[in-house]
Amino acid sequence: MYIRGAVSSLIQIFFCNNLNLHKYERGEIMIRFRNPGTQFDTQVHVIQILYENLNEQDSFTLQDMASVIAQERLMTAYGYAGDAALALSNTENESMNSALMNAKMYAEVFRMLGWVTPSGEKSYPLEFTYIGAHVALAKGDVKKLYEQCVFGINNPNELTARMSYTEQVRFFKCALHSFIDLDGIMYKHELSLGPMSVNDVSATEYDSMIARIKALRGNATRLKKAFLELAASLNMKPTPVDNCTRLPVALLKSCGLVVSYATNKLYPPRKMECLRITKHGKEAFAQLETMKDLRIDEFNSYDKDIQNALIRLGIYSMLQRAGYDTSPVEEIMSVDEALCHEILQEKSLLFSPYQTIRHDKIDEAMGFSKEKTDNPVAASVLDESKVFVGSRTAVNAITNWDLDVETKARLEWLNLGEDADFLNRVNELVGMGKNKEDIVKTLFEYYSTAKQGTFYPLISTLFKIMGFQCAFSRPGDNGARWDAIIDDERRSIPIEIKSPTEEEHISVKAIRQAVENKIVLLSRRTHITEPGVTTLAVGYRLPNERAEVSRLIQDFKNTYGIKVGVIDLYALLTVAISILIDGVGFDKEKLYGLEGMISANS
Amino acid sequence: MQILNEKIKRTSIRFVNELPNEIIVRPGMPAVLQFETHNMCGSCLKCDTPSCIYLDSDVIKCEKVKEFPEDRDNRVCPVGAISWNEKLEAPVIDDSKCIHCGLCARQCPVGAIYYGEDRINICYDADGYEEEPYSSSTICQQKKFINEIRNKKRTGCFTPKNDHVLEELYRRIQSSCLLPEKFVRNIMVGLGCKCATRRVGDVYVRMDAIYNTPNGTFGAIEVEFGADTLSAARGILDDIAVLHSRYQIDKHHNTALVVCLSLPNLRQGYWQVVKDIAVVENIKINTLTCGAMLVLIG
Repeated sequence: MYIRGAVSSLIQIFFCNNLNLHKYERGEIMIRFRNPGTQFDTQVHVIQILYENLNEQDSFTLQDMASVIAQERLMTAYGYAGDAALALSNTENESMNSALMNAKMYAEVFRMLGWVTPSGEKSYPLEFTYIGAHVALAKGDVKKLYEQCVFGINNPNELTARMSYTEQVRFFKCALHSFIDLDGIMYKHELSLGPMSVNDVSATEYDSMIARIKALRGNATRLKKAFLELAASLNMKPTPVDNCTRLPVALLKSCGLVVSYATNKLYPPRKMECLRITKHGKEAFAQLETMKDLRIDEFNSYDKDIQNALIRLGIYSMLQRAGYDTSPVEEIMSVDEALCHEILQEKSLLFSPYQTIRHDKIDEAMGFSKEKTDNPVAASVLDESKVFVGSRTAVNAITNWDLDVETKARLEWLNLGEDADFLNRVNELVGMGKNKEDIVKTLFEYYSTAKQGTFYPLISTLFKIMGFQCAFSRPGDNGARWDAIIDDERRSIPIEIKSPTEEEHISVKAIRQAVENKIVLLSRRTHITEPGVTTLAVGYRLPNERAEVSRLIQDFKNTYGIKVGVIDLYALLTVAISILIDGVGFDKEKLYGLEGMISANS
Repeated sequence: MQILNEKIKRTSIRFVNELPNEIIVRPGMPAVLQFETHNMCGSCLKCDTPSCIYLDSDVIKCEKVKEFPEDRDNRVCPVGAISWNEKLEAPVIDDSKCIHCGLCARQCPVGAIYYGEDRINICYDADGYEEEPYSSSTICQQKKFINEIRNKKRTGCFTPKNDHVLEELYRRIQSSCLLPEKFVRNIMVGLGCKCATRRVGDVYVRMDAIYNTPNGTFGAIEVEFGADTLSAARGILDDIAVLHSRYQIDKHHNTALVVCLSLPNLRQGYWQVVKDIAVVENIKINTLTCGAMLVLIG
């Protein structure tokens, strides 16, 4: 697969040269919209605040953006906002730095909308565009200007690092056209198969795309097959291809061009959450149809004077359509219109320079000379926050259980069919000559797809091997609040279990449920326990968000005095297999007071 | 770089030169503004900043937790049914979107928005209002009038509280695409509270919202419009813990609130868990439906 264009650009075109997968005329190509924050209001708030804070600088970096976004409480990290969020999100690994990733997400959206643009040859640092300044300074409703920017998105353009595309599409215009030609309703996957995968300059190709979607309709299996083939042809999994529709759908909805519409008309009898074009969407397309749609190839074919006039007209006419008073530039527009008369032929110009060409050409046409100020790119605020990294690492820590206590498995408790199944499986593996580590790995893999019905008894079996009398609830037993319980004479422990098919990594939700289990047990007294005894959350893998889960466990302890212990299957298998094979386990007392996440050292 | 101005398509603005003693809200018709000597009907003021469309940014913040990263979308209508009409120079309501919650009516300073004939209406043309050219001085005059009239006594009720009205409200809520958290925030504001919701998609903020009443009561809010009310109870425990541990808000000074569409049924186990929490932690979790809150608004 060849990926043409910059990886960092928001719109990427993926091209697959596997001829066997060429099921569609141009199905191997799809605009790949990233999946950033899609809330219109948030986008506008963020650009306004960034402009207020960074406008005085010649240019700004992602770190500058991250700093402003965090300090203005427009992002959070690990439950914190402001400086604490900035500090906590700062890691050595840039891709794990949520403040920077947040800033990058906004930078990409704003660049796509033409509000910011690369200041130099590279993608960063950035500067605000003339259109971006208008969005940021708007006092009234910016929706009209926002819509103009949405219609301005077009491909190919010069804003990607390499420019080797030949495919052409003004996606949102093409999408509205497709809605109209497809009876006003489309399912999101039809967007992927349709306007996101078409060259809209070619009427033949457009018509064939519409015919192809019409042919899919009436049969959901046909649509699914086509969608899966598209994903395969892009060498992508279906979910990321589906995710590529999020941003266009959100932009279409934000502008009021489409609304959600549940219907079984397209793929009966299944009722699907589709999109329906609105009256405004139809009117907007009718207006777009009357306009001169200028793309980069044509723009580049004109001489410099004409190009400059087109740049000015493109920008001012966007603002005019968005309800701005263009009388101060009326004369300039008249002269430019006269100069471009043959190109425009009395039509309004649909051309957004900031979304199509590099800003140095625009600056020249608009007469914006860059006066160097004494405000270079701001120094990174993030660097100063590195002192906090240590504290974050600290809460990430996982406690190890050392397996150094002689322990005999309580075989008399292992009297259920599920217990016998597990022991037989271990015996088989031992018989095959596998060592402890191999057995643990094999079993861990074996249970990777276990459902509740298998996983709950397994956890109970493992605790019994460790010497805890453990009973599990059968799935569907709504009477019991916990999934299993260690039934102790004085210190019973409720266990919240998440099977790998429910969630691979133990989530915050499981931690909350473990707290609830403890409260219920203390309140209803169905088993005897003490407030200081732990409550367990057990799952296939330890939480992904370990720092956040650790903090939450601390919060619960600080507030309610409740200790939550988190154990994954690998640790339990390690202990149980060690007991079964070597007769060596861990200090059982540690379980009663467990707080936080643990692993086991054999 | 010359920044162009947005075109201002406003020619006139309205206010009254004297203040009424009381505003009496009525079902089926605009409110009555009672003066010493006469009465007037509530009629659209064509507000410079229409409070039926936008909430004041101060009321969607909660000072008790200054670091709270609140959503800054200050639109009143949870479904975007009310908008500014440039031709009319006044707000208009799209009944096909409107859920009949009356939040816009609650914000109108003169009670020009009313519920009648199974829809929300706006009165535009009652007598007695000064219609003045739109200018900075008339904007100031209007602002002064609005600020003062907001302190006047307001009585009466917006809709007759019967099953039909509530059934229609719930039918519309359930078929709309409103964001429950913002809807609840705006109801809380309608009740005179300050209320901040977390931004849509911000998974790092634990609580759905926090609020402050005018007398200083503070609490976390969990919103659950579906059937998973147990997760709301767990969520509240989480919220209280985070606020207690990270923001120094004592768990016993947190009047936590779960807002549901309908009260949970007994089988869901919600009430028993709420009772367990009260027994073990001495924390009371309050539960309200949005319908009840709207009834409280009037």
